[in-house]
Amino acid sequence: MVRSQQLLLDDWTPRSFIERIIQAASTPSATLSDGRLFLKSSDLARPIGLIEEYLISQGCDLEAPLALECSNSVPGVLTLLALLARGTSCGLFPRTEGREGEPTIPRFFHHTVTVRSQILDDGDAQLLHPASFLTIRTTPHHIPLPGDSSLRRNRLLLRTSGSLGKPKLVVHLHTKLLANAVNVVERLGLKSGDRCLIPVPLAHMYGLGVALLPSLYVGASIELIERANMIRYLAQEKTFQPTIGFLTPSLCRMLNRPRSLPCAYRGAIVGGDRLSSADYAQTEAVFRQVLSIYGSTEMGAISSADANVCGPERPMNEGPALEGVQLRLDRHAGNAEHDPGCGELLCAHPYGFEGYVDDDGQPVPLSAEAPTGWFRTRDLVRLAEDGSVQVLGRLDHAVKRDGRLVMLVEVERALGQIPTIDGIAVVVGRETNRGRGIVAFYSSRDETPIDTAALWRACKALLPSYAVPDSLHRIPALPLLPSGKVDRRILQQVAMTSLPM
Amino acid sequence: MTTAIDATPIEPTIPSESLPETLPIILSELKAILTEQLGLPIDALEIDDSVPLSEGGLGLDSIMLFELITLIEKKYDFTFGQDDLNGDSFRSLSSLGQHIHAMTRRPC
Repeated sequence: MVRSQQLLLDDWTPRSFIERIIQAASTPSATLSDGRLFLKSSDLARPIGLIEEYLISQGCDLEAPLALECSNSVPGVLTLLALLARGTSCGLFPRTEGREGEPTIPRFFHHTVTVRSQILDDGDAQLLHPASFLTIRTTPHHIPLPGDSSLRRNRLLLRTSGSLGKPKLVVHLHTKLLANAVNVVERLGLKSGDRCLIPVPLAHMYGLGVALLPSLYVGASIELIERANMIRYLAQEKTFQPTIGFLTPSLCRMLNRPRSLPCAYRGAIVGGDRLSSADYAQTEAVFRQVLSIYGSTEMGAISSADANVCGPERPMNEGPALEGVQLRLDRHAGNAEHDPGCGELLCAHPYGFEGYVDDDGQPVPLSAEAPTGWFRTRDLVRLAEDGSVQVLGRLDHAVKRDGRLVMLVEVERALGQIPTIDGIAVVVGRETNRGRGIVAFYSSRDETPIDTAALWRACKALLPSYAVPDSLHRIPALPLLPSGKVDRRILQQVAMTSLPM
Repeated sequence: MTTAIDATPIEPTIPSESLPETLPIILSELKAILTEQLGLPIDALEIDDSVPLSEGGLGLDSIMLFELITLIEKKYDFTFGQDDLNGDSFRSLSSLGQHIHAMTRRPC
């Protein structure tokens, strides 16, 4: 497998990958759809060509990086494929919604191409008329990259998975991104007859590198869900009759209801976050088979359960490393003294990222030193004897919510701006529907009762919804360690044991 | 080659003449759930009955919508069937209220 892919990598161009997709999709039954628009996959080439022509006609320089605000829609996929096929460097971002504090498009992207939402914009998209679904704007204060910058061609850039701090851009070579996608096909057992339902956003590595590109590569039928929620998932599931759903733990919890599952389902692939053992059992009961997959924006897919191993033999964790991927543990991290199988996961990946850049396209050094060729994932994991990975959590002071990383210190910084609050400590709470809970403790010198509704409003105004604490608790004063630092251990204990969520 | 499927027009699932006066009560209870339990930063009195629940209206994200469903099931002691969880019932506060009313068959 590795050898053949290495050969592919040597021979491939993104154009040949797209041609391979079109060839694979030429089975009469393969389709690409999003609940509104529908296309036979064998007819991909024409709208892709029209998009390329349209972008050029609108003054977009396809020899320089473009930002693409992509939605989970047929026009979104076609536009992405048009840019990949052309070798255009592309920053793939979720659509901005004009909310204060949203990251802006980095200045080295000359143009931003936005795929109009079929929900928000109420558009009447026609696939052979790119003007009906694309909006193009010039980046304010654009600063072009130097002529010799490697970022100018054949790169795909994603934002790091959303700490509240200033995000970095993760740079992938197109060919490696595609090889990364092909690397999961065999492990997930994807094949041409599959019908893949994709509610996870394409502007993140899971949606792009695990769900979309591998499904396209095998010639599966694909249905995309824009702005997925439970109602939309159930509606599109009913009409599309999928064999595979690409889910996150939070989607699993929504869909784990007693219901009659469409009979075609083979199972659910679950990524983006860790699935608790209770949720795993329930998801398996509903979806028949669960395959957990683990990866990162930087490395792409790292490890996965094996679709070809059935029954109790298949581990319920995130499975062994994918072909060509090497893993090792740094046992100095986390609670390794109590569990020698635990530590920070280091990964060497043949199809991993090239590096980080900032908003000006300048390289950003890796924050943690690692041996040459290895990447520190900052994830605390347990490696089982069979080499399978069990992710235990983030080493940093952070939680994953809605599949996004939330740095607790950033939540504290935001809430600290509220005038009535003069002491704030934010800790991890019990499991919630969004992921691990966020619990905020605050103190106030103000003797009068605090208007809690106003406090909630302030939280929601200051933070994105996935980072808003699940509960706020006023305490007379924050407990302190002798050093003067807040005693988080005690607060953490209280949050985990005695507070309602 | 391509087909655009038009969105289905909004139609109440229950004929309006069959709705007794408990519907306003259900709607005000839903508003209380949204503001007090889900913490929507808006005054319950300011919520219009016809407001869409998600985009272009209250802006409930996927998790909030799920929590709303869970809270409704708990409060009214029923479980939405698979076919009840559809875009028509969850299009607006009033369509949801009508659906709950039909599910609960509350006496006047």
